[in-house]
Amino acid sequence: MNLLRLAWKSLLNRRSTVLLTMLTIAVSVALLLGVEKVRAHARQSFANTVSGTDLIVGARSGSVQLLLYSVFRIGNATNNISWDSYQEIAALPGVRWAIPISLGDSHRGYRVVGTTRDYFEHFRYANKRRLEFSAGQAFQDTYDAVLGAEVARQLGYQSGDRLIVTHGLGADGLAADHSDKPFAVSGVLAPTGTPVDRSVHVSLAGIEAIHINWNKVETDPTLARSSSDLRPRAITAFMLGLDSRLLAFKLQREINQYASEPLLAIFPGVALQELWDLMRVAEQALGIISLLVAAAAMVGLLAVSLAALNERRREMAILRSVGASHLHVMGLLISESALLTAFGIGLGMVLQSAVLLVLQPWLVDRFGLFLPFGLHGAREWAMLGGLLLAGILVGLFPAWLGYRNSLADGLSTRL
Amino acid sequence: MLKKPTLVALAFACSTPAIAQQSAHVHGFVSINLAIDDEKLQIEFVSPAESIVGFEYEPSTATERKAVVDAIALLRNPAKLFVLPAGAGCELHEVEAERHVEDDHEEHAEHEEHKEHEEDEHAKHGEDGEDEHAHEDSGVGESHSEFHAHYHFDCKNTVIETIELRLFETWPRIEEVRVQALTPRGQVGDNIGASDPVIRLQ
Repeated sequence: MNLLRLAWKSLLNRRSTVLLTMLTIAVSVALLLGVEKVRAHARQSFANTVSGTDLIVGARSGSVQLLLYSVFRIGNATNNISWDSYQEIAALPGVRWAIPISLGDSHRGYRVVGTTRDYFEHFRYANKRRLEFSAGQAFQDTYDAVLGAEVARQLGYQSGDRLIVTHGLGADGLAADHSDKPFAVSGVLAPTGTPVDRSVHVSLAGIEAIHINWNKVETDPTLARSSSDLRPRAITAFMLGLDSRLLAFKLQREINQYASEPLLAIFPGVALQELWDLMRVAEQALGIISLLVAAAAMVGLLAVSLAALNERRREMAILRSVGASHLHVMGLLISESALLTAFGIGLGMVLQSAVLLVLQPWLVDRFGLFLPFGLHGAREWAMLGGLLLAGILVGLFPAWLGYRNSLADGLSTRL
Repeated sequence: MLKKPTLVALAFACSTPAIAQQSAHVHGFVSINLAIDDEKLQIEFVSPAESIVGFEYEPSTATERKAVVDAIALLRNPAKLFVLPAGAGCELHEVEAERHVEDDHEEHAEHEEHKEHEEDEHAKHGEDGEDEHAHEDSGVGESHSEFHAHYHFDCKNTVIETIELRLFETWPRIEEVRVQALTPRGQVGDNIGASDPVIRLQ
């Protein structure tokens, strides 16, 4: 009889304990794969978000902080920077493009980003890919808005729909609706897998407009619309693209020594590395914990196999009596352990994908972290292979005991 | 409304406090900025003088003066500092090296060579850690001095993956190098120590 089939049937016969053991292995596999995925892809995902931006400029704070709030929309700016500074720096020789960003408002939990049409022209993500519209076009009017793919999908908006922007970052907008100034959706962006998907983009004039007299009861939107007051006074940060990387260090120094306002210019890729250095300890701790959980799962497997062995003495003796050799009995026990581990690994991969499916939007939203599905690296395969090998090795011990027992049982007269 | 500063005023704005992250004066810590674009490789090197010659005051004895001259001579020979991959086919096009003394209001520099960009130089000088320590105007005493060097290479192939650093051997007082690199394939930031003296550009 086919050994694997026999092993399979034997496992089925003890399905409740086997299932629990399999679950333990699955959880450890999911954890191992999850930690490895974060390790391998977080960096790539973060790097993808700022592709092609040479410098990011904001109020003087820390470089990591500026990176987090300007690009990943994590946390808030310590201070705004003046529109005049922006214009002066954007006009410096060597600056090819500049994208201003104004943060601080939201729409039903999604951040509103005030910017210019240059955003759609020059912003790059992943491997220098530009933003594409899946519907409509960039904003034209003060009260136009461009939605990220996720916002449009989740809230069911289409071009031409109206939406109301909330002052501050509350999810439900109880505090301060700018309901006197509804925005119309002028376009929807194609998915990018970056925080852009979860942003509502409006013009800087739009941001100014919603803040003009927003606390007064009576406001005529048409007045604000035509008013020259819509010229922005301050923005949160801006991104710069340069003609040549060779100018970047010089320009960074000039901006950092800017006389009329304390500014900070950072290289997003370098700041990202600093962030990574900070997170390295946590990353290593997670790696060690997931290895320990895997080890615990293996010990669990061993415990269950040994416990079962005692109950299966009769089974082994019968196998021997119908002509199974010692090697067959050993092979059966090892196969069982290997099968159980393999199924545990399979279940773990499914479990990990299921958890990712649930967490993915939240990870993109909170951390700007886009983790793809599936296995991607040799490291992941090596881990799974290692675990399977551990499962086989764990099977060796009961196999050896079973071999000894079947010999003793075969010779004993009690049967 | 504040008077808008012109570009030149910006460049000479030396009294602004420095950004610590960019170039704090810490003995043993060297910073290397590297940019690659359009078949050109540019490297900036800034080191506290202490880490190279062992002192920061004005050289007064013949030995001290010789140490400074030797250091500048070494700096002018980039092969002593880093090794570019042979496949890149880089040729040194221009080099500047100097000892740079920092006071509160005046800037002194002993130029070995000074070909161009007066403005650049002054822009650079303004940044260095003035807020780190109090300064006295005397040449000897608490003023900091640094060695600055600029290298401009023309390269046939700018897909450079690694650059080996030799400056740990040349100047054992250097403990760590803070590298910022801007390449066509992205930006890299790294701290490099003597145990693994290689800049990896991805």
